Amino acid sequence: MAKAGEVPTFVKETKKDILDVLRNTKEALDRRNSQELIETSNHLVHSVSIHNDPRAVYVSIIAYALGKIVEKSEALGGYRKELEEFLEGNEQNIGAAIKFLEKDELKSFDNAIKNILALISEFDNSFSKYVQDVLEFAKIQKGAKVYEHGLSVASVAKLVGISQWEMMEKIGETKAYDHGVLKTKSTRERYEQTKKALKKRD
Amino acid sequence: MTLVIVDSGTIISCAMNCILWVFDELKQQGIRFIVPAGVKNEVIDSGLKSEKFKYEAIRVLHHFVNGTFESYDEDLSKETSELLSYANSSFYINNKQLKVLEDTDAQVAVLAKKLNADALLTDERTLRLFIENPDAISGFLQNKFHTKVEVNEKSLHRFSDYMENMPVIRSVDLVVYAIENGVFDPTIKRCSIVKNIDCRKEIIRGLLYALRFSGCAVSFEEINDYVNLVLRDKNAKKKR
Repeated sequence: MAKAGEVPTFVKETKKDILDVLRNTKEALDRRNSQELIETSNHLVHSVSIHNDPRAVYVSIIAYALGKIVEKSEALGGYRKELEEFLEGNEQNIGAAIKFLEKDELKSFDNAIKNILALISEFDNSFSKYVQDVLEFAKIQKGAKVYEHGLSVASVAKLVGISQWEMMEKIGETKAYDHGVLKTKSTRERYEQTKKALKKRD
Repeated sequence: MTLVIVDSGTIISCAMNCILWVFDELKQQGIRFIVPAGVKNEVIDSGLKSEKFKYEAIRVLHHFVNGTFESYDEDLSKETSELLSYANSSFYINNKQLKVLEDTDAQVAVLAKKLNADALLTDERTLRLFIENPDAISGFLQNKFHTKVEVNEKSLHRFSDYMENMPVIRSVDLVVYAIENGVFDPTIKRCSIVKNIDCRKEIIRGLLYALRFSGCAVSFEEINDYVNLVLRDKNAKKKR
């Protein structure tokens, strides 16, 4: 755990995972490939679940949010000038973040990531017709992926920085609970257990 | 009085479906619902911060004010931290501890034991597995991470040993109990007046699906089993 004012370090595996994802994100962004961006964002789910690293969370959110922005542009039938500028700017910012991380300049890396997140939020605000910020949407999507890996709702909500309300609503839409191993009692047993437990004490 | 400790997820899934009043009715039937202060704050504070869930959070708050939910404000940090350390030192991937539970998850478990509760009400999947079948978690994790998950059996079983078979109830189980105990009878009656459908069946099915879609850890298969079970029991009672 880093002390106040100290830049937290990385575990070796997380650094490698983040670098891989950033490089893939830059390439996918260059190809304007929304599916590849969204797919790339999933590659950090294991890292996030195991190492609880906030940088991995942010990078995953960035890749996903950019994927959704490119996807929306495709749906609108093309790229406007300001969108092109935004995407090119992000390619450069991601390139800079990669260099900072390669050189272990973590403070500069963190600032670059913060800058990318701010740019995405600002751009999405003017570009999207949806009320929900693309970054908030990305957090919820990534949270649901991490939840599939066994962490509790409260753990995931804290890790990705959203409320349990949002997390519960999202999880309900997934098939996270249709995994056979989660059924620990038959429905009859559970029914009888509930009746027995809630029966009035004398 | 029956004593039930309530977790955040159950409050959230019931609030999202406007059925917090069920707790009022069950309290009238002799069930006390206790919520650790940490859980109460988490549900209400995070809800109030969100425009989308603000009103739900206010409705939850109302149920603390009217006394249906009782807040437990004494310090649980020592026991919580101990129980949490068992859970979060149970699984390792590449020598790294997997932090699967959060402070508030352990708080409800600790309070349930401390007050010798009759049940723990939670929609949380992982917490329930720790209590009911901890061995199932490793298989589940292995399947999800596609890698070897090392298990510290001692830590893993200390959690379930500590809980000593405490009954775990989800919001769906509570709602089925409420239906069986007449809480939804007026709703069923009103539905029957205007609709030529099997209102009891549709209300049970509708409620269970709604809770599932709000995050309660129940599978579609279990929902279907539950609907059939409740209807079968009702028919058997009629015949008698």
